[in-house]
Amino acid sequence: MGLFALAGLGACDGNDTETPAGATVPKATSSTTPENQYAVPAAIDAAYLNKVFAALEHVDGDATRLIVAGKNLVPEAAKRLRAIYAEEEFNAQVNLWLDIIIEKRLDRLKPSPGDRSSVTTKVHTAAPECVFVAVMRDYSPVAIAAGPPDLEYVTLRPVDPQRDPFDLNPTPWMIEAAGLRSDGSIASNPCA
Amino acid sequence: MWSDIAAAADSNIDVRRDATGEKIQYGGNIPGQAGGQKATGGGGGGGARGAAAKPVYIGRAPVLGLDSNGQSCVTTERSTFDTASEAANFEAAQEQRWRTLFSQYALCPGAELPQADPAVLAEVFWGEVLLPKPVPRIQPGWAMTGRLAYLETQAPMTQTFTRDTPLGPLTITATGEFLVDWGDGTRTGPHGTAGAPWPDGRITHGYVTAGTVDVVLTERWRATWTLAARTGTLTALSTEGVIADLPVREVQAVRNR
Repeated sequence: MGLFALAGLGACDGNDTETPAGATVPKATSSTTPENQYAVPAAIDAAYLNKVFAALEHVDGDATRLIVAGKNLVPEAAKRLRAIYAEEEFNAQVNLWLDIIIEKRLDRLKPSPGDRSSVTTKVHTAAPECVFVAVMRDYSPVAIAAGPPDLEYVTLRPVDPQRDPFDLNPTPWMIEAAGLRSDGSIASNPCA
Repeated sequence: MWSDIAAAADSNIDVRRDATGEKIQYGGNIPGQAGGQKATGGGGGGGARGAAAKPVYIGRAPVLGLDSNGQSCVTTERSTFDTASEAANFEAAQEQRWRTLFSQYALCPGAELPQADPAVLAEVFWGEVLLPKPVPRIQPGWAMTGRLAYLETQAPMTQTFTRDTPLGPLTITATGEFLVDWGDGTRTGPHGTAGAPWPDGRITHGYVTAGTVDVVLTERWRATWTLAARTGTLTALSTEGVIADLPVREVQAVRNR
């Protein structure tokens, strides 16, 4: 495993709150501390979500770097994808990666990829049990010929601790779905 | 580009972008695979369920599950189809995914294998076997211009590998042939017989010029597999051996009288 692959992996500074095993709703707190910077605030806003997205995209970026270095969907990468994606989305991400590998499209990725960025443009729903937002996603740190940042819709749900036994996801959130509508229309809000 | 990527749960999102930024479109609002619907269990294979029931056909796709140690492993997700050909086409489309995942992950305990494709199991096994390397030799450790050099290959030309699988015993029979780079610009082969020393050897070469050469002997392996009353061929593999810095000497007769 290349050193760069894990460089910058942060310590697990996420959910320090005492969440019962199997709990599905993260606790809302009125303040954050450096030790618990991803704790769910009383009011979930774009600034908080952007911080969460940066952390999630960094884990996704680590997975990408491991895949590029290993030229395959190596187990360490799968651990990271599982830690940040809900089951359905995880399976979809696995299939996306398998198709890139099988179709020999890994050379379309940068040799040392950075982290994709997701910046919140509109918060449709921001509740402790479900977040649905529009984001501008930029693939240029990852892909050689990425287009300009483009709109996508992302649903976040409280993380399932069983999906992340190695504490790779520093946030209390996982991505339930991310994508867009082929006809350009606004995706329906699964939190509504 | 259409794909069988799962649709987003509880959402009408129908396009995802992969890491390259490419948009991957998938079908509609069925939370399963395109053209199919996730099965919730039941017996394998297709066929009618009851006299009035519509036939249901099962297609299997690989997904990554977790074992009891929290490690990823390959397991099976079933989708149902209306026709046998749809299910067969679906399974055929999964073959490369099975192979790619099996190159990195073990099968989850108790997981179902793709029934339709023992070729996947054979290819996985073929990637794991240790093929013998040739150990080329030319006696007496150097060659002479104007005289044939006899290359000894010192490697078996057939190998048989077996492994038990849930589908029964898998047997791979591999056959090798030799290709020689004599190091002076001459390449010969494929040779279908093993190289032996003088006087019986059949892999020979006459050097013209004195010097030092590297002789590279490549054994190219072709293999067939047998499993569950099916057979097939496997990707060719090669092993290699080298004689480095072989002296090629020129010997002159000296007349004393």
